[in-house]
Amino acid sequence: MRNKEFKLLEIELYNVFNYRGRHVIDFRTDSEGNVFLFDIKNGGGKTSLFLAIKWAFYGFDNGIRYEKDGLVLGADDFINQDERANGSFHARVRFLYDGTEMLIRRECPDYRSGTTKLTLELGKGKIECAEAGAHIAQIIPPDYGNFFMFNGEVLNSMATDQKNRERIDGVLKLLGLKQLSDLRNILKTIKDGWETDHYNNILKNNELPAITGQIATKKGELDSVMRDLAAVREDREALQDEIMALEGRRRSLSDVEGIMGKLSKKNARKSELSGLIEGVMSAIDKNKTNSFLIFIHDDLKRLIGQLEDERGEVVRAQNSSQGKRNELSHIQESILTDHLMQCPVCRSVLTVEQIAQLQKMVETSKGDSAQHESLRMRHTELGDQIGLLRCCYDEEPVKLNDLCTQLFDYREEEIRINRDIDDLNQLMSGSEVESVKEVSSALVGLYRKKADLDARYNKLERYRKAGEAALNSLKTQYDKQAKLSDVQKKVSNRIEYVKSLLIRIDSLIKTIKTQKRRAILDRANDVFMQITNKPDVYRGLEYDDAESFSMHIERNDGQKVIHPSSGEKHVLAISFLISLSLNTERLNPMMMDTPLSRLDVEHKKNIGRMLSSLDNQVLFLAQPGELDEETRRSLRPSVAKMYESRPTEDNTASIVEVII
Amino acid sequence: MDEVIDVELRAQMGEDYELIIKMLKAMDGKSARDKKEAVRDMLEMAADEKQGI
Repeated sequence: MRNKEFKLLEIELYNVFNYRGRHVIDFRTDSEGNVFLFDIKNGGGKTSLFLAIKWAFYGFDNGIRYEKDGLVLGADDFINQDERANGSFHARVRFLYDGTEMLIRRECPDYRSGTTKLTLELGKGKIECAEAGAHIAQIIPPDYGNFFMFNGEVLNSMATDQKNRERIDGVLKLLGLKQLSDLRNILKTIKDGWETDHYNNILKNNELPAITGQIATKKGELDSVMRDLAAVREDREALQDEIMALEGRRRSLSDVEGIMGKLSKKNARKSELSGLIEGVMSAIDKNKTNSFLIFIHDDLKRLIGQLEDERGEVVRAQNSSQGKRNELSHIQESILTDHLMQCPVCRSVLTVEQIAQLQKMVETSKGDSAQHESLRMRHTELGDQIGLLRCCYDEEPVKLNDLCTQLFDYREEEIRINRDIDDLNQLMSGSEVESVKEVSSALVGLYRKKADLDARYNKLERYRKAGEAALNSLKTQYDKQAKLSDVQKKVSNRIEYVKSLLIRIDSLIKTIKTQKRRAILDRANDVFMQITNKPDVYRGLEYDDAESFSMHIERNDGQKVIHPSSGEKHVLAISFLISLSLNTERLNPMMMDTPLSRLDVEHKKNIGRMLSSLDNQVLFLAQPGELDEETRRSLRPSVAKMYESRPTEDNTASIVEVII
Repeated sequence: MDEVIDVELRAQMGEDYELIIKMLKAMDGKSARDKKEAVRDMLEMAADEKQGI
């Protein structure tokens, strides 16, 4: 495996921390050594240099925290305190990555806002800001900064907090597995979404065969019902035939009840008729004296007519003289009666002749009156005759005629009824009552059986209708499902495909992770056994569990070292980090800020030797006393350059100078 | 990509190797949502092509 080489070539700091103004540190060298040793006193700018280089790559984003003495630092801490009025600070890093020289420049134009501008120069090209950031993240992902730019605090947490999820993810990223793991999780999310759509929102994939099964079952049930229905129908028809035959037989024997009923009605009517006939006979008997009038009805009519005519003539004769005669007779009679000889008006006096004439006239008038009286009497007589004849003509004969007609009708009906009664009595006397009873009894049984069959038939008919409805519903569902099946098939295929990818990716991740974990552990053991001051006591390192990269020290007897010293923890962490670095695809620089301060001489010497043996560029920021003579001696063959810092003349800033 | 992973990926994924590489590249520098959409599009296309749809 060929690792991509990553080397720092030059760093320029401007007004960052205690590096006031422009400050350049050159890492170019002809030496084959890999260690760049900074021997800087406390407050001389070790941590500032460490943080400034880290900031140049990652800025204030990317989840990188800049800490010093337990405090999280921001832009207003990064700017040189004497240049705050200026407001801006920047760092430039020139480096070599996989054979290409690149230059990044990160500037914070105003520490108050904290925003930064980033540019990246690649050969002759130049890209800026977000694009430059993305490119940097590809070349040196933030996790590199977390793992390979460390100080004592990072080492301490690395030794004690390796099970931290973020740290595990970070390791996986460095190993190239995080990207695969992320892809795996995205694929799983997509698969889960598809499956949810497939199985919940759309009809389930296996529903079609289920519906087919349900349809087959329902069809079977329906066929069974139909068979039962056909059988019951046949039974009903046979029973109906039997009933019809028996009914015919019963009718042929005798309809006793019907005859009895009819006989009863006929007798009742006969009795009623007897009463009616008796009534009519009585009425006729009452009117029988005038019955002859029936025969002289026409003569009566004619006679009445003649009498009416005569009466008319009498009336006319009476009317012709009655009024005038009556008036004159009255005057004459008054004159004679009252002896009015002289007129009270004109004083005329009646003569004897006139009186005689008047008396004659009165006599004559009395004669006319007798004639009139005769007419009046004739009129009365004619009226009586007409009244009598009309009475005979208008009433008696007609009523009698009606009574005779009524009597005739009643007699006719009575004769018919008597004949019917005779017939019915004859029928009654000829019926086989016992046979009728037997047939009727059999019919009752048959009708009961028919009622049962009808009930069963109706029940089966309901089953049939319900079965057909259910079957139709299933068929509709089936049709709908069948239409959807193409889409389902497509989604199903996609699910199967992504499942197959997931299986292989899971297997791949597991395989590679196992390989990498083993390789990291092996290499960490090599490093640890070279560094530890107790190679005869410790057997090496072992993982705490099957998943994380958390390790512990094991003694030769296989027992875990429960309470390792802080120095041993640092040794463990350094062993892990060096091993991790060697198991990535990059040969990246390792920047260490006072990593040996807690270690004893033996450990320091061994680490010095170990760092010298690496191919990585190592920036070792040491404080006075951290490197004893023996350690320096072990490092010296690999030291490419050594730097020291000194304060500026006004003692307000640091200047780093190459001393070797 | 790490060479060890690359070799294993090629061996494990066979003809789907290119798809996985494309997906990994498509995920670079994208938000979680965009990553998912990009991967899903590729996945649908690849699955449908496989089935000749």
